[in-house]
Amino acid sequence: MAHLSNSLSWLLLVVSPLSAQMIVQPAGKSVPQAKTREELDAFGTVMDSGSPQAIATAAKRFRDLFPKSEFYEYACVAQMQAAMDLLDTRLAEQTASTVLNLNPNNPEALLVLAEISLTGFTSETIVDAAQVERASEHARAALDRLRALSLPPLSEPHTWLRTKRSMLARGHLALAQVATLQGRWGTAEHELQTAIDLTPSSKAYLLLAQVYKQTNREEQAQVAAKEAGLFASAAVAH
Amino acid sequence: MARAQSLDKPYSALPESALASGGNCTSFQFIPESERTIPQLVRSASWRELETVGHQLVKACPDSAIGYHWIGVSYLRRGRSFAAIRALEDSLRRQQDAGAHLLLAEAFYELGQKQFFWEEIDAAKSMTPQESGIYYLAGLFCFQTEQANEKAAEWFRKALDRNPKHLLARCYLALCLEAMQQYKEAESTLLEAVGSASQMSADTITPLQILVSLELEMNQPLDALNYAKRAAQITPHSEKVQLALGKAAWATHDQTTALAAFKAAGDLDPESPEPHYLLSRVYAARGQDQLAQQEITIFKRLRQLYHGSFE
Repeated sequence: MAHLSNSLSWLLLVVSPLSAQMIVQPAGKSVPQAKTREELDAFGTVMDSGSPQAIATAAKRFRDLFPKSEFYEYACVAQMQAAMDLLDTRLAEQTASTVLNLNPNNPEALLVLAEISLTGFTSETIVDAAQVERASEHARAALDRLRALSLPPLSEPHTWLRTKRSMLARGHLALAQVATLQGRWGTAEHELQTAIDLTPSSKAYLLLAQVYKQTNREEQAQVAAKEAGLFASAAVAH
Repeated sequence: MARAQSLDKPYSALPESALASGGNCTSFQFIPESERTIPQLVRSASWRELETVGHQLVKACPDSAIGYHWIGVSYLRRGRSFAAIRALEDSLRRQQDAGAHLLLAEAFYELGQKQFFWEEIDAAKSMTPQESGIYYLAGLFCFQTEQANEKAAEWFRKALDRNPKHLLARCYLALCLEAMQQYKEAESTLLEAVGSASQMSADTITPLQILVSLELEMNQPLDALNYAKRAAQITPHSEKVQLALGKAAWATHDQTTALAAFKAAGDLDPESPEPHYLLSRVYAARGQDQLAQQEITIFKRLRQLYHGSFE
C-alpha cells in the first residue's frame, strides 16, 4: 500500500494545514496545547521526520514520554500511518485500535482498519466473509465521519479539500474491493467511479479494468488499464 | 457564508535586528558579506538560499546567534514551524534578541500554542516596546485564535500608534470594528488605507475588499460597487475580488456585471461553492431556471465537500 504520500494526511484534516505546520482550530474543537516546550518539540520531531521509520520511532518516543499529551492521538495516527508504509499491518492495526479508543470518530483509523482487512485478498482467493464484512463496516463508518467533517476556520481550503477528497476516495475504493470480492460488479463499478471522481488513482483504474473484464467489456477494460498505467507512471515520476 | 478572516501571512518580526547586532559573530569574512546578501534574500523571499547562508554562518561562528536566527527565519517562512522554533531557541540561547522572540511568537501563533506565544510576546515587548509588529501579532492572535475582538482591537490600535502605516494592523482593526458593529469607525479606518480613487497600488486590495463587504453591510451598495470595481481593476484575476464585485453589482441590481463577475469567480476557483450559489440566484432572477438548477446542484455538491452534510 502506497501510504507514504498520504502520511499524516488525517492530521491535515483536523489540525490543518500541517503541510505548512500551522495548527488551526478544528470546527467545534480547541487546538491541542502542549504543556511544555519539550512536549511540543517532541511532537514536532514526529511531524518533521522524513521516512516512515523515523516517524514510527519519533511517534513511539512521543507516546512513551507524553502519555497524557493532547497531541497523543495525533502521534498515534502518525505511528499508524508509518506502520502502514512499512507494511507492518500488525502494529498499524494495534495503533488504529488505540486511536479508536481515544476517538471512535477518527476516520483515518477506520480507513486503515478497512484497508488492513482487505490486505491479501484477490478475486481468486477464498474470501473470509466475516473479514470482508468488517472491512465494509469500517469503510462505511469512515465515509460517514468524513462526510460530516467541515472546513476548519482559517485553514487553507484547497489543501484541506484535496485531503478530504483523497480520504473519501480511499473509503469508496475499499467498498469497491468489498463488492468485487462479493461479485457485486455493479456496486463495485459505481464505487470505483465515485473514487475516481474524487481522486483518480492507478489502483482504482486497475480494479475498474478488472470489473469491466468480469462483465465482458473488453474495450472499456483496456481503456481503464491504460489509465491505470498513466497514473502509475505519473506517481513514479512524482 | 463565513467571512474570510485570514488576510495574509502575518510577517511581523524584526528580521534585520539580528543582522544589525551581528549576532555577536566576529567573523570578518562572513559578517560584511551577509550584511549585503541577507537583506536581498529576505526581500526576494529566497528562503532556501537563506538557510544555506545561515548554515555557513553557524559553521563560521558556532557560538553566535546570527546563523541560527536566519535558519529560523528561513524555516518559518517555508512553513516549517517546529524546525523554526528549534533554530530560534538555539539563537536565543546564544544571544537575547527581540526579533528572535517575535519570530518565535509567530511560530507559536502558527501552531496555536497560547502559553508559549504570550511568553514570547512579553519577552519581545520588554526588549523593544516601540516595535509595532509585536502589537500587531498579539492582536492577530486575539482576533483569530481567541476570537476576542475588543482585546484584538486594542492591540491593533497600539500597533498603529507606533506605526500608522502598518496596513495589515489597519485592516484587522477594521475587521474587529466590523465584528463589534462599529461600522462607521471601521469605514474611516479603511478609508485612510485606500487613499484617493486614483491610487491603484496593489497594497490597497485588502482594505478595498474589506470595504466592499462593509459597505454592503451598511447598505451602501453604490459605494461597495465603486470599491469593488477599483479592486477588480488592480487585481482582475482574483476569485475573492470577482466575488466581491459580483455581490456589489448584484446589490445595485446590475445583473450583467454580477453574472460576469460570478462566472469569473467560478472559473478562477472551480471548487469554491459560493460563486455557484450566487450564479444560481442571478439565473433564477433572469428566469433561466435550468441554468439556476445546474448551479444549485454544483453548489450543493461542493458545499457538502467543504462543510459536511448540506441539509
